[in-house]
Amino acid sequence: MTVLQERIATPRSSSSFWHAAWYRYKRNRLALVSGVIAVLILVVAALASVIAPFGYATQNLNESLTGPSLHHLLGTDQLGRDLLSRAIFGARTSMAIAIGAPLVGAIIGIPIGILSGWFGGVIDFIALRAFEVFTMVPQVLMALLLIALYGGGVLKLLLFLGITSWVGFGRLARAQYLTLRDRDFVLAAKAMGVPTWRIIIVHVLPSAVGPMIVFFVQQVPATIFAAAGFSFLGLGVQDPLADWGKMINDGEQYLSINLTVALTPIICIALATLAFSFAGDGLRDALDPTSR
Amino acid sequence: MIAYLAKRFLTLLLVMLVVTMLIFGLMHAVPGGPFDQTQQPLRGPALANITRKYGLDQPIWRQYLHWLWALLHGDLGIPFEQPTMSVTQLIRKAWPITLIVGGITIGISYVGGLIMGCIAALKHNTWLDWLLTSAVSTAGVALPNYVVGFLLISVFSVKLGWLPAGGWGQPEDLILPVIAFSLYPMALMARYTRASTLEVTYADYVRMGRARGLSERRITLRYILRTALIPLITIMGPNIPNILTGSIFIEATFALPGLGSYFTTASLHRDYPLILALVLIVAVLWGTCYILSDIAYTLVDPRVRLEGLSR
Repeated sequence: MTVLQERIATPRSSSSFWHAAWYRYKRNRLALVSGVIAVLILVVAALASVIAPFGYATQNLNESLTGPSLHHLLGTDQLGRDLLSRAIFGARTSMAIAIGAPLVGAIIGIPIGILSGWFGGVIDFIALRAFEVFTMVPQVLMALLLIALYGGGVLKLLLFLGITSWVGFGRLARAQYLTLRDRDFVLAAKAMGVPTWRIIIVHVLPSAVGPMIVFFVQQVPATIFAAAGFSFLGLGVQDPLADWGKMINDGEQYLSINLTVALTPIICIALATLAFSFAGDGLRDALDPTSR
Repeated sequence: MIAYLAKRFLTLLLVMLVVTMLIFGLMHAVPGGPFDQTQQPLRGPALANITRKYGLDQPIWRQYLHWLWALLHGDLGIPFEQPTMSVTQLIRKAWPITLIVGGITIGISYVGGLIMGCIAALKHNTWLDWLLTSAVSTAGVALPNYVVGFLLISVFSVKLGWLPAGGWGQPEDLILPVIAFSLYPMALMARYTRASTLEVTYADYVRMGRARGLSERRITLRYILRTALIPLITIMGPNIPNILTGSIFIEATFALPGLGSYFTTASLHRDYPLILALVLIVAVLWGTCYILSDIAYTLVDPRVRLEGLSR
């Protein structure tokens, strides 16, 4: 009888948590609007080649640095490339990196954090020292060094920003598992003879995943910042690929001739970082109501 | 206390050793060297000569020991790109620029953030709170500093022509970089100040103070703020080295010849001695600030005891 009740109760209680979270998120109007914008940016990025009126590399030197017109809604850059199209394709590269890099960091960091938090002892000691070593050199500088040594490009940028972001995920996962491993439900699972790997993944992970999602979303604007920054320095995405940071770099020299060349990517970056930050904050408040 | 400090600094030293080893290994793991892609390719004997001069022909562990030995004698080597000066001289030339910008940034952003955070918390749930929290501090945290920099340049330099767009030399050159640079730490500070002040505002002892009929001013200054500001040390501390070593993006945006700009060029040119020196500076500052903020915390909050320290 009790077993039956538990079977029925478990899925309902876990789904009601996500329901409650969604309800809390919905009530936060700023977060809701930001979430919609963030999703919109992702959709635009995914459908770039369908939406964009021109190709990202289509040049027309006769029409370079024109202001906004009906033909080119935002005008053109120094090579006569349509700015709107480049901004749309720029969303594709920026979003690929902004989502991909934290994913790489999570894949490296979370298992390390889980192992160190769960098992403690020597593993924890080594992991803690590794955290210490890797926090000594700030992420941006470490990524810069890697890019300088191994070269830039979309994929490398994604990889390097990902590798250098693992510490945050590691620390978070460690803290989560450290507190969760002594809970009664874990003890109960152990007593019932559930294998350790199963406890770690099936029993504990659902309780730990909320903060991880929040952290992931909060990493997205930081990654947009860093990736566009490197492209702006001329170290990241290379011509003719479009990237917001690269576009600032292009527009920098023409500030006095045509401001929209630099202003377009700047507004794109601002919009994306703001949308993802507000959405991340809303998500934090929704998933972890005790944090505020 | 001394034993504790000694232990912390010893750990820092060990971590530094690992960090430099890691960077050293990383730099040498990539095929090619700093003299492979200069403007005029060097011929065989000349290349061999220059690699020998800098000890690049030796095994990597010997190069590392060599570098470490020189470091212990205060010698950071000679930058490959500017062989006329030593790394120490180069840093002595570049760092003051970064330090001036960073110092002013810290002053403005910490004080400004504190005031903004306090106002937002004391006016909790009013339009002022909303403006300061949502608009100013979230935007400050979210907007990349080079984006702010460019917006400032396009308004104040290009459109209005009031301030220089970049460069170094006159006092006016400082204004825009400092504004762009301080926005993030200021927003961060305001956010945390607000959160920690709010936490205290509704504490029992504050209500008790009110019940005793203390003036609102006294309650705010002596009861709320004194307690609320303590946790901020952990926020302020680790941010200081970040600001004092400069931002590579800010320095590129405003063409400042500071430490950050050298980090970029040194990485690009595989200028091993300069990269190592810069990483060393950043890492030492980081480690020291962490230790100092831990100590400061115990000094202002008597409830906190350092691990393994008995008084």
